[in-house]
Amino acid sequence: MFPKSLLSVLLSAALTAGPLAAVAALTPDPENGGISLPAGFGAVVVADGINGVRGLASAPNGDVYGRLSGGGIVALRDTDGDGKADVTERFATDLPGGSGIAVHGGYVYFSTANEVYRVARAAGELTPTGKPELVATDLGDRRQHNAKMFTFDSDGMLYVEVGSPSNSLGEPDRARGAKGVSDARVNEFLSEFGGVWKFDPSKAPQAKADAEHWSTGHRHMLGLAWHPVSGALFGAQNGRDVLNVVDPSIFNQAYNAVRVSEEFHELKKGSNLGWPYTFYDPIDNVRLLSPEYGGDGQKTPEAGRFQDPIIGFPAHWAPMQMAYYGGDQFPETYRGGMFQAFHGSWNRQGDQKGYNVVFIPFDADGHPTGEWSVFAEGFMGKGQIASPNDAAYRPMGVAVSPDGSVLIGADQGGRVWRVFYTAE
Amino acid sequence: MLTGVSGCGRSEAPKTATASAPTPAPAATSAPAAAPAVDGEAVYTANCATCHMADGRGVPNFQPPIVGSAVLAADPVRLETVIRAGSAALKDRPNPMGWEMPPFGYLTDPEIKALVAYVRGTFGAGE
Repeated sequence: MFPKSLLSVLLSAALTAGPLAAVAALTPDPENGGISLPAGFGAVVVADGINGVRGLASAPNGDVYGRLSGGGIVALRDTDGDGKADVTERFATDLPGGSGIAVHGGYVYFSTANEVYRVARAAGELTPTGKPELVATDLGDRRQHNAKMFTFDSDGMLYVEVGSPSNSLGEPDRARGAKGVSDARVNEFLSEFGGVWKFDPSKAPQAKADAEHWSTGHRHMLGLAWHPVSGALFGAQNGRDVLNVVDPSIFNQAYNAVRVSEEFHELKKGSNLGWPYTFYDPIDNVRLLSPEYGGDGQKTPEAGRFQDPIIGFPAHWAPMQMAYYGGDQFPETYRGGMFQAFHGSWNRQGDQKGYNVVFIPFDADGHPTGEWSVFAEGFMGKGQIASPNDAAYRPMGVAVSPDGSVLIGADQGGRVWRVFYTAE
Repeated sequence: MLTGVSGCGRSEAPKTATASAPTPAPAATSAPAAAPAVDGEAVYTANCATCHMADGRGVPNFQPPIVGSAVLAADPVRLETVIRAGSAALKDRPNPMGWEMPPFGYLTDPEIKALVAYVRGTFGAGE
């Protein structure tokens, strides 16, 4: 029925470039390149020595892009199918560094602390030959919490998170006895920081002031991903620090170490996550007022004023990039879920936690089930560390390859892994 | 001065300090005639280590290291100023972090003297 020539082309393509063939050719590195994975999974080290590699993105042909905090983007290509990069290039090195990156609609999009750029990438190009053009501008940069992560919805609209340059909008911020500011000043602050803004790339360049203010009351969310089935935006936030420094008469070190969750939310239009007024206790599952705003470990905000998280991840784990798993390489339980990288804590005195990649399952309708599990760990390099400086790796980037492998990058340690399912 | 209460070894979830922390012991006991010695390391652990880490090396992109810092290498008065009034008091240099270390003016003079001696002795170049 098929013309012979077409059939042979299809067979040839399936055998040499199909996802199953690609993964079958991969051999896990010894000890999976230093990390532990669930049974049936293996990892190869794609590249080393890429310090400051922040967000990751994969192109349709499997090329891997890593945004660099020190400037530019690293581009990695595996030409012999062993999973390891054979060609490494860097581009956009004359622009400031940043964290966000995506390959979308024939462009590589990337962020600095104040803008989102894009550069046209023809199919098959490793270093895009297009010139960087501005897409989103005037995002706001006061150094603190200025990493701008972003994602696209199914219509190609661009959601950019603008973090709050503050711990808890107290004065002096982080000081013992820090006091919150007036509602008017909170509103003024949140009118330009602490939220997601929705941009339309067809209107590029578009200033934040002309974009749609999507959600508010954020501290800083670097995990941001769209679920195409539910058509919803999800985010994971870095919660406040140093409760016990601000009011040690009420909050002790042990309390601060565990009772300020990293909140995982669905971000709807108009969502208010309650920062700076509150934090969320993941042990008693209650939103509490922060001491700067009258909190005493008991007082709660007015009911219904702020939304509760779907999941309260453990305190200070520091969620970084989030990625939707749309592949079918991994077993059924992973499909349609999200992977979330955790940089690892600094504010859990003497005993740091996190330093892993977590899996968040979603149901067939694209809603989180409320569960989560550690998928990849061992990035600390030791059983226990007192300080982030002692960690071998701090995971930041996570992305999904077109063949359904999961890429993980660590900005401290400078390593990129490709995790695949070996079914062994 | 309050010291943190470790959660290690407790079977229940940590509560707020007023609910469950025992009253912290005084920093030192002493013979009636002498003023109690202040343990500089204890002051550092209770107030500074949270951010600058026990080893004084700070947290990349968050809290600068004390080890090798220009403030430490300078006159001890500069270090005292930063401790009491926070980094905003250093008006003669740009802050590389973009935000300020808060003030610790609640520390007593003996605590600050002991802390300065501990920090300079432990993290300073002359160590």
